[in-house]
Amino acid sequence: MQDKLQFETFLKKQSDETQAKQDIRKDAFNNFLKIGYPTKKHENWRFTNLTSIAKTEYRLPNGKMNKIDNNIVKEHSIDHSHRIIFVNGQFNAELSTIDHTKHISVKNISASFNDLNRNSANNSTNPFILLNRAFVTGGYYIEISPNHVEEKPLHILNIISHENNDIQQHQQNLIKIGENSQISIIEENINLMKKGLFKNSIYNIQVAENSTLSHIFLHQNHTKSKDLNHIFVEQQNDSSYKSYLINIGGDLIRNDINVQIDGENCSTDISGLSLLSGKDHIENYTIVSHNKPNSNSQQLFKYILDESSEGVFNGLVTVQPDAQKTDSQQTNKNILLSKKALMNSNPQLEIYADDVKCSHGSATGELDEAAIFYLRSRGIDLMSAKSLLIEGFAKEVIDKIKNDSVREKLIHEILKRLTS
Amino acid sequence: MLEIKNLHASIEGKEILNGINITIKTGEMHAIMGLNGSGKSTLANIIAGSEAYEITNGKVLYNNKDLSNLSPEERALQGIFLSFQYPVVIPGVNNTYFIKAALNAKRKYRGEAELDAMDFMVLIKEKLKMVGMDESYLKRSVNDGFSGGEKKRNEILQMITLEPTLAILDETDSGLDIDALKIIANGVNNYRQKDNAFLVITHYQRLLKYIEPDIIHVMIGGKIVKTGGKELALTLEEKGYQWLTDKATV
Repeated sequence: MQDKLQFETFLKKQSDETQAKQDIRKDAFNNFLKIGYPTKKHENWRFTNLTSIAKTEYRLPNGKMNKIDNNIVKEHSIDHSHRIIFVNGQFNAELSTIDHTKHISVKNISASFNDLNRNSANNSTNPFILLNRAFVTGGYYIEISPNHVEEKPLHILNIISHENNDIQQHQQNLIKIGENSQISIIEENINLMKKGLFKNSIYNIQVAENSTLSHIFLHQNHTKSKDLNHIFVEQQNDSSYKSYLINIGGDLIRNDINVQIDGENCSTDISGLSLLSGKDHIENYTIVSHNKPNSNSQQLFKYILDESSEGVFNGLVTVQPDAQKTDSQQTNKNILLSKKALMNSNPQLEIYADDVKCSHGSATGELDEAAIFYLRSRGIDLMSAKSLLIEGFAKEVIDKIKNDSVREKLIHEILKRLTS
Repeated sequence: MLEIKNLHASIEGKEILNGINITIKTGEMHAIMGLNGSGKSTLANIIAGSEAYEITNGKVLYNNKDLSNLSPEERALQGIFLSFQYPVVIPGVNNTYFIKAALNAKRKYRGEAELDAMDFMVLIKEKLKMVGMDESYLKRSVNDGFSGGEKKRNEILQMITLEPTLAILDETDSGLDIDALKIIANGVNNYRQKDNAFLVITHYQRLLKYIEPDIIHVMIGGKIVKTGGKELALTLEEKGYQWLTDKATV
């Protein structure tokens, strides 16, 4: 689908950009042409069916959009939060309720394009990162100033509402948390399109010294959307980064999250809950790299798979030679509700230091028959018993989220899905 | 209330129950004693509706109705309760939520109004006291991180809350210290009434010091080899099971 003509037409439309910026686009596009789409022969892509992305003629956004119904915004809103609305990757001040304080800054990404050149995606050979750099048109830049503890979570509603075409949208998002600051960010994608969407997003997240970011991704995709997320995180000394990837169904969702623990005494929690049914396909690829001593990381990824759905978990923890006293745990647990569902799990550890504590494990099974019998023997019917167990399984991930209103929203969305 | 007639059952082709006959009348407490592996727990699970076993012959009647076509939940709703030998740990499912769901299922079945959260809390707090549990148990997941004794108390808590007409206690005494044993026995004795019945399974007679059954059955190799009054427990303590085994194999 990515031909030269499409790129050149696109580039001409961005003529107000600096030459440097256009050169980045050109380099990225030329590199993409050299590499092409990955095939199932690539180790990192062997479960991902990219045929339809490669074959569909996705158009680039033309700036036109369907009107956003205010009720949709209301429906998704979270109590006691700052609401930040982006429509097709552009900040919409009118629908947002961010109280502009001197501590929180929200802008379109175009304002800080140069910041993106120093990130770890820069030299990437991942064709989707290259495509993103060639075609990026939107995204957010959020900055939290140093020494600020924000009580209210930021709720980013990323609404996609293009006209009636199959559309590809490439976004870059940048989050910078200043020193000694704390905040929760929940990002929710809402796809209002009737046609296909190929969304390809890069996140750069910088967590400065002694700061804490709790970061929740809520992906609820409909049957025609392909959603790729490349998340790069850099942590400095004494910082804490917690990421919760909540995937409620999706034709194709793939999250690649790469956390570089570049400081000492950091704590990292990368967890996820994926609910799949129909022909949903959800992948989480995680890399947590301990580069300095005395940090801890944990991962808990859970999948609940029904019908003919497929899940992939590929987790890698690396402990570099300097990273002594690292404490790391990685767990993947999956429930198969159907004989046709399939889970691929590949937890990996690479340890180059000698004084570390690391564990990893993976378990996939059906609902516990003994537990079902126990509940039924108390008068609870079979269907309710199963839902109770599924909810209980999911809860271990959701209970990690400390903000009450965010947690309630997630429970609401999960129950809505499970009871449908 | 319960009639077990010539019950034969097997698991994976291996026969576990070999023709059991027991009749329990309303108001009675029966005990089944026997060594490990004699089929006691199998019998308890079959009455509660476990689908893990195949009934090859005979039947179980409850209030004159054949149980074989009833699901475990229907049996529970009609008043059968099993206190599990190994209560299942269910992470993520809150204990209060679970017991409330069970009680409300039963109230709904009986045509009574379901209890709301407030009314349920009043009720459950009262029941907790009766089995010496504090309120922190309500906030925990079902049996998650409970000690052996706590799990058994949680079973008795469910029993006195759900108010069954037939309670089957499967090794509820095993793994308990003497204080916990007394608390559990006390819970059972307080609940014992003219209009309900108990089937108590144990392989020690020490529980029977605190709760006195009307009738004791001795089970060996999937069969009842001896039935007697409560004094049979004392004989067993004195002589063990050997004399009955010898007799059974003759």
